[in-house]
Amino acid sequence: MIIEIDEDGCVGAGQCVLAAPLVFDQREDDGIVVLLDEDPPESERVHVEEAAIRCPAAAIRVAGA
Amino acid sequence: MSEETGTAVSGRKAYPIVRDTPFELSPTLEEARESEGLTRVQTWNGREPWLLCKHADVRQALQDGRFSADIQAEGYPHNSPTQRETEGALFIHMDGAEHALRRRTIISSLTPKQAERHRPRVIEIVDETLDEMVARGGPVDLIEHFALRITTAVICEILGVGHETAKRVVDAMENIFDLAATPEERVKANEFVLDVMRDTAHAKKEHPDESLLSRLVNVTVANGDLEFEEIVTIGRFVIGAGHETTANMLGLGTLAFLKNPDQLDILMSDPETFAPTTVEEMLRYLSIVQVEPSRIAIEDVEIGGQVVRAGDGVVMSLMAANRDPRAFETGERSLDQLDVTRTGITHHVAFGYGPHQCVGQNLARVEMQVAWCRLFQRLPGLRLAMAEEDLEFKRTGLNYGLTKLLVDW
Repeated sequence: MIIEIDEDGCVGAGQCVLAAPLVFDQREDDGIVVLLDEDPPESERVHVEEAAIRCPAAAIRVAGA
Repeated sequence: MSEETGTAVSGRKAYPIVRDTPFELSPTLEEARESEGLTRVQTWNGREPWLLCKHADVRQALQDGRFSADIQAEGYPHNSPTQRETEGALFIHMDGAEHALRRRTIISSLTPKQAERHRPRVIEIVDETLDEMVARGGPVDLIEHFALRITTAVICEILGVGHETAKRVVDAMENIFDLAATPEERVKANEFVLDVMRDTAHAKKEHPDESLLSRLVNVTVANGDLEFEEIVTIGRFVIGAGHETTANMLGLGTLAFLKNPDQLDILMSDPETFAPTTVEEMLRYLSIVQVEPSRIAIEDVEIGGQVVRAGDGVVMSLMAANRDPRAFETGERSLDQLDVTRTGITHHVAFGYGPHQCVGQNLARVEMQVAWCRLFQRLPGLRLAMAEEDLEFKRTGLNYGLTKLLVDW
């Protein structure tokens, strides 16, 4: 699973952190997304996909089998 | 306009279209959602914005940069004659980089991690509020003595506004949230709140503390990122957005539990597991934001099979979107019913969507998770202490909710 994030599009709502806290974090100063794990284990897929669908900026893309 | 039918002179439906009963989507909105394409509605001043009800259309309009939140733009579908005056300076009506700069000054205080850091204090506030409520003895108005007490105390502590000041601000803001208040009342209330925030912000210069307002004054303004007057309006926005909304959720959600005791039993059987799903479901099911959001197209945009022209306004129903069967799988209970075990719904739009999505949502979640569980743990026999037909709902409010909820235990 490969995850791409669009930092410029990120609006800091933190929904990815709620959905997949092992994969996403936010910068302390402005809330912009930080990718903790670019290629997380398959067990994280369901959480990452939730993060992608709920991201208000549509700033998360998930690719790869 | 005919009050009885809600149909404007032109034959367009009059907007806002609010629910007739607390937990049911207006049939007019459901019909609009299930129709092909979009329909126009008519607002108080004769404007005819497009109405969006499908989840996908609402998300597109709120995320697409070709729609603007600029309240000063000609053709913007204003919700009242005073919206320009009471909301004109707020950053929620800016777009792009200008908006992002201001949003970022507060969002770092309201991330999921920060909201979790507030949880122990939220628990204390809720328990203190329950102590006072029990000491007072029933029947009590749960809106005044529980819901508003908690949400006001939490947001004011975070912002750095003292208890006495908070009470005056909250009383004044009632007029801002009620679209039926006169223009004079609304403008006067707004000026009062701004005056209070200005005084409080000045005091933070003299006596800095850990609060958000203090950081805005002593860092954001001191660094030259924003002018002092702007952080006054940000403070007014935070206190306004931070208390009435969540209080409406707590009040209306409590009524929903009393009407669905089986759902309450599920939550209370394992609060740790079910508090998060319950709160998401309550957000989806109650969808209290009933007038906003609105936008204006700044370019021609195709949305929902309709070309919306540059200069056209759009209004939308978050409640219709949150019950859209195209967006959510129906479980054992339909999307028009409360199901606190429902999963796969966190992409609901109760907090909006796009760059303006609610900045306080993570704090609101923690407040609701704590408040409902502590309330029913402490008072498992909580019951309505007024006739159901006497319940009054905020039909003219920007946000839906109860004006009063008398309970006993």
